[in-house]
Amino acid sequence: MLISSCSKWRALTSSQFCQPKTKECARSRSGERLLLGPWRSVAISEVDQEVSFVQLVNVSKVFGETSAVDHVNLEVKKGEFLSLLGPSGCGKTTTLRIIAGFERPTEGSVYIKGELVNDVPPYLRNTGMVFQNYALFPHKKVFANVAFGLKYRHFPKDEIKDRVKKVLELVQLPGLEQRYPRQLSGGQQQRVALARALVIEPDVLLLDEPLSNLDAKLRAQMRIELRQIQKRVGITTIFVTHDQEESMTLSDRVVVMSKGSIVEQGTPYQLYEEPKSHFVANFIGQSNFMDGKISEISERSMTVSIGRGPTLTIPRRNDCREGDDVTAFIRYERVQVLPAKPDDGANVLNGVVDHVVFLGTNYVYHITVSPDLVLTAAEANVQKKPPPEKGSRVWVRVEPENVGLIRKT
Amino acid sequence: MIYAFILVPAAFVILMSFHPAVIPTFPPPSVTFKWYIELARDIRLVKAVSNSLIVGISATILAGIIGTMTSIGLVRYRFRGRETLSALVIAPMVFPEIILGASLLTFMLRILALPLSRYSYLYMIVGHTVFILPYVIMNVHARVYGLDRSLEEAAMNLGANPVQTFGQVTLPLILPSILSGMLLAFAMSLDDYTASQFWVMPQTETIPVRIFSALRTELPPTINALATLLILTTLLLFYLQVMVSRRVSLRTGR
Amino acid sequence: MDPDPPNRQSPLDKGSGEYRVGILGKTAKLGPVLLVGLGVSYVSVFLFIPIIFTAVLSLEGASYQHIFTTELYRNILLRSLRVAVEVSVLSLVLGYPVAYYLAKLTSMRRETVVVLLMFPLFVSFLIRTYSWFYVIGSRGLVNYILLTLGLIESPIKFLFTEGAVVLGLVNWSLPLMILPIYSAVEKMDNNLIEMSKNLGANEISTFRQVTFPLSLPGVASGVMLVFILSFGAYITPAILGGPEQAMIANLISALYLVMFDWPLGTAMSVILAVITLAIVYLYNKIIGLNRLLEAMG
Repeated sequence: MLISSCSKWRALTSSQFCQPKTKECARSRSGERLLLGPWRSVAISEVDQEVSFVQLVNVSKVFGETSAVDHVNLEVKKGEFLSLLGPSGCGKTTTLRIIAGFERPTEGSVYIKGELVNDVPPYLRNTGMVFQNYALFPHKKVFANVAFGLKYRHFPKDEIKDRVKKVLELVQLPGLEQRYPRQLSGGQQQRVALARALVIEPDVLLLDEPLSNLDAKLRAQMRIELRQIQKRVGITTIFVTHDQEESMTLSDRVVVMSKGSIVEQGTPYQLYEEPKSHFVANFIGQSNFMDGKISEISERSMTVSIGRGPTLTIPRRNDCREGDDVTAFIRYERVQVLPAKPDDGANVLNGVVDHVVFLGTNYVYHITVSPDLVLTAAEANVQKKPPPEKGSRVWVRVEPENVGLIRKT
Repeated sequence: MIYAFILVPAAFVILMSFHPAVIPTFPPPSVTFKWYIELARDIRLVKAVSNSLIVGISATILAGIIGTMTSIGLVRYRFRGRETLSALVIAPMVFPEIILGASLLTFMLRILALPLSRYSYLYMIVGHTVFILPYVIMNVHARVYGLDRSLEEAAMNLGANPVQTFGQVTLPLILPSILSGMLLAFAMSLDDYTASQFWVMPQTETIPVRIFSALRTELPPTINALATLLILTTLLLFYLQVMVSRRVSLRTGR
Repeated sequence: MDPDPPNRQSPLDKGSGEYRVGILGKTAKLGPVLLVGLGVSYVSVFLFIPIIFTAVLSLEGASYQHIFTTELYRNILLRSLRVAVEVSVLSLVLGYPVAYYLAKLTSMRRETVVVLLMFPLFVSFLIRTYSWFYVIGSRGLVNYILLTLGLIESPIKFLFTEGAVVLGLVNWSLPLMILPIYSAVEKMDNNLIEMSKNLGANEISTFRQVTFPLSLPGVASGVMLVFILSFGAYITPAILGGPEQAMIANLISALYLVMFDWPLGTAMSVILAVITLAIVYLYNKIIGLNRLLEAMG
């Protein structure tokens, strides 16, 4: 009894984890796993460990009256770069914190590498987190910051030095060990924060909007670097952001959240081209939305009638029937603007240009087709030419496969 | 400005400490250091100085520890009655010290049956701690409140348990505030007469007690010399405190 | 951006016992109790319990009736009240403009001002008090100037009068009054003032209608502090005042240490404590003691 409580205590204070019976302690070196303390209950999840590296099963977090996270089910594969995307307050950061161990789920289970970690405190989970404000220790030099996690894993001094050096090289900040965080620029601080999280070789890398505090150019640059590093190291990564462009650029998969629940998840392509909900279609990319009904179904195509006005032809789908209420959407860039009436093709409409916006890379037109239908079209500025003028009449065409459909069930 | 009003009288004491004659008149005819030399020879005064230091340092350390713990507890944890408790802890500052002196004496003598003659130091230290505690708490409280929690979370995320996080991250960052509060507390302890008068014995006399009794009977110029030294000391403390507070902002880069 | 407040609950916030980590699980719930409990219990034991005890003790001793009927004691009580009121008013009148002026200064940073105001508190109050001897004493600066200028024939007795006591107390309370008012004014939203001017009010009106009312919490803090501490002041009346100027605190001290009349002493202490508490309670009700923390810290 004394022995096991001693070992418990040692485990707590030194982060060396001991098996109660064998009293063997396993440290984390690259390749070896960290064994968790004796007080956690081991429950292997039903899903194959190889496939699901991080798993949330029916996880909820309630603060007082509100559900910040509402019955979330999530699976992250090993080595995957997953984004949690959504507007403020949707629960993405809370979800991340639950995985990190800073919040305890009110309901549900969290598994990392197949082991239930609900009762495991953050300092015993092998996760590495990068905070939005970097959270670098201001009173420690860069070296001490990065080495912090290694210290508690009991690496010998020389190895720590070596690893810090290597990881700083990885994030392209060689030689900055002796500086203080306040002496670094925002971009550099962010990289140190990343280095600090990576050097401990965590099971999961958790990033909480790490790029939001950087200016646009730096952000774009860091995005690429981040992805490269992640690919190189092969670490499972969960990235929280409200910037859909960011999530699309970086992720293997994107999970869109709203008001505490997962709305949809999929690859960037799937979410962009085949969103299943209005929310996602609206949140990602820019589209024209039109409410309508399925008026006709034929062998290869379907017809959607929009309000009192035009009809759109789309490829046939199997999930709709005649008479269904639907929302059709067309991405701005998929609306072709033509000066003259095209000879053939479906979905040809006529309208008047209300407004022209020049963005440099694009033109954006607002075209009134009918009193209750205004289409926005975005055209890439590939050729220097005078744009259609306000008030001019233009023809608009949309390829059938470019019309998206969302069922209104 | 009004500022001068507050400080000018003090300046006079310093002035007068250099006065040669026994009974000071204005303006001083000449300047002399002889009172300072007398000061060193006055055993009673020297004892008073050492008592002040003993009591002051002990009480300050005690207040530092208790005050820090209390502050952290008040800021970080949410529980019912938190506001009442924080008010309670600040109370000694608002209370007239005379009540503190009198009631503590009554209490410890009657209930705890600690004879003053033997436990005077205890009385002094315990009592001083009570009224200097708020000074520490006020300083620390503000700092703890403004401390970025994500720093501690980051530490825990990297593998430091709560104890280690406190030692490696929290404490170093709030230390300047603790020190700042302690310096202020020490200065307050050094200056106390009102409450101390109830707890002293002839052999545990502190500097203010000695000065006060001297004022009652006579006003030997050595007192002025002592007073000047005291002023200089407190100025030094003040300077230190300012320096420490500056470090707080420097270190965090904010 | 996620609307996380800067001080969101971290794992160290274990208000609801969120964490159960082996043996630490127990301490997690114990944490707040332990930390805060220490400070609170310390103060309780050594401040409040003694006071309560004293109060109880006083009931068995002298009768309060005796106090209120004896002229001497009544006088002392009244005098204390009077002095406290005078000091409060004076320091308010003198201090408010200073606080206002300081708050409006844009060149000085808040910290510098606070530092400047805190500075006198560091210098020993005892010394500051008795150094008045050299200023208003019969051989002091003021008399010296007046004599040299031929305005008076012989030194005026300034010392050992009620005026001296008030003077000394005001000297001490000014920083205490200025600080909260300064805090209150400085924290005021400038936009309100701008708006007021925008809507047509002139400087005086703006002050009367906007600035002053908003600064009242600070004023209240200052007045409360100054009043309580002046009412229970010991050193100033003891040094700058003669026997005629004795205030409550002096009386208590004398009863305890000179006359060994503890029953009466405890009774007087209780009266002082009750009045003090009443004021604090009032203040807390109207404004709340936590404002004090903000004002000072």
